[in-house]
Amino acid sequence: MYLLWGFFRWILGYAIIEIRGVYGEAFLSLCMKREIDLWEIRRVCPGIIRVKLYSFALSRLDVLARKCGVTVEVRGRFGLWETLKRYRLRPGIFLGVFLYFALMLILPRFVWSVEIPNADPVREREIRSVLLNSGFGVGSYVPSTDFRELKYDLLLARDDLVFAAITMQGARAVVDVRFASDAPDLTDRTPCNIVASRDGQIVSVLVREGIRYVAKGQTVQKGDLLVGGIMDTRLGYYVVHSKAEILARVTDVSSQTVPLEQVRCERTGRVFVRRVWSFFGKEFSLSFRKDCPFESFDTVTETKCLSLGDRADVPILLTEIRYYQTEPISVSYTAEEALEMARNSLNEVDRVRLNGIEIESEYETVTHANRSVTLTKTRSLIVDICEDKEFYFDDKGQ
Amino acid sequence: MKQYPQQSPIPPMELLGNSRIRVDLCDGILEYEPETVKLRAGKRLIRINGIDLDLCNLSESTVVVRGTVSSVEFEG
Repeated sequence: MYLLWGFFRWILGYAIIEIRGVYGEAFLSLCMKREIDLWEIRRVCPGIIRVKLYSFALSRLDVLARKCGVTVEVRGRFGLWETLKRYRLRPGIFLGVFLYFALMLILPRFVWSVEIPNADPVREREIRSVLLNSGFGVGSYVPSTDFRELKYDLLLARDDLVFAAITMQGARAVVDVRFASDAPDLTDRTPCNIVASRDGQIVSVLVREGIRYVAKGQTVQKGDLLVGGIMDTRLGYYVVHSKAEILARVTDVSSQTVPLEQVRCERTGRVFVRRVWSFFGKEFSLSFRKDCPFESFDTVTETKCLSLGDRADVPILLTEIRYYQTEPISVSYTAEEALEMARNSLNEVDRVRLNGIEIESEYETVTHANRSVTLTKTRSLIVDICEDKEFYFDDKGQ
Repeated sequence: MKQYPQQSPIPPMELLGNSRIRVDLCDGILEYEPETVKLRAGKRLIRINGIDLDLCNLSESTVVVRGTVSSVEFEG
């Protein structure tokens, strides 16, 4: 209650005055009779009483002070009204406050950001594209958006979606989607054989459907028939979709050549920075020059999103594009350095290429020729070499 | 504001522990010192003694005294 009164007094504006004279009590009594509210009355020293009262009552004090033979000195004026009076000659402040409240009213009616929490980056981009085609994105006007229609657009455009819901959380649109899991392909009954996808030696054979034509330990070449899809019986023949898992030992060769003398682009140290403000998807360049002044350069782009706290993203993006000038420099490597570079490069590529494949053995060969180093890795891998190969019948059934 | 009979000989008072005293139907302040506050209510005089007294609120006919009240005396 006391806080409420304090806030009320701050809104109306109050003043602190000092009553000087021996008849301070008489002055207070007279104020009571004239219904002038006083509070926090304190005698600061003999002959001086400090009092708070509403600012609008100050004009009535002169007459009372003369009657009581005291002097009244205003020590300060406080409160909202007094603050507004103090800044009345600065229209920019009032304009700023007005703009603040206007923007606070208007901006939440637009979408500031779109979040798709349950989608991987690729699907997220595709869903955003579908939403944009339906006219929904950052900067869309929320009251005129038909979310039900938008949801149906999304479900119709994407076959892999089983559920979609778009909810607004403040100015943030959250698109909740659920994807259908891929059903196992049990319906493929296309007649087919299984042939070898590469040369190798059979390590294990597991045939689920069809007639096996190879055995463990046998050597096969690419294209050899492994499992047949034509089942020949005494009553005739019928065809099946062959299924098998045939592992084979295969030889894998990969190589990487690194020249001992290379031309590399190095940064010279000169940088051109271009900044772009993005507001509701509209871009405003802060640099006069839009193209890069360097002939050869590499770029680093950094985008910062303004946010209020952890969850509220303001639809203002600051993109900073840094153009680093580069120039070609000739670099010479020793054979050891080149070999190490080739090994690193090869490992980097093979880590992705041979992910999940069993490597039985491997060895390296290094050749030096034409001012370059070539690293060749020969591996023995155990892989599934099955490859479906459909077959067709002519009109005669052959 | 609370309504009291016009002819009440003793002004209504509320004492909150010994830290705050509220006096209604008060006509004026005769003396105000940090140790003493003397009020007039009709024909009666009320003296509030204590330590570090100040007038918390002063409206048309109500006085609220805050501080450590040690005694209240009536005269008249």
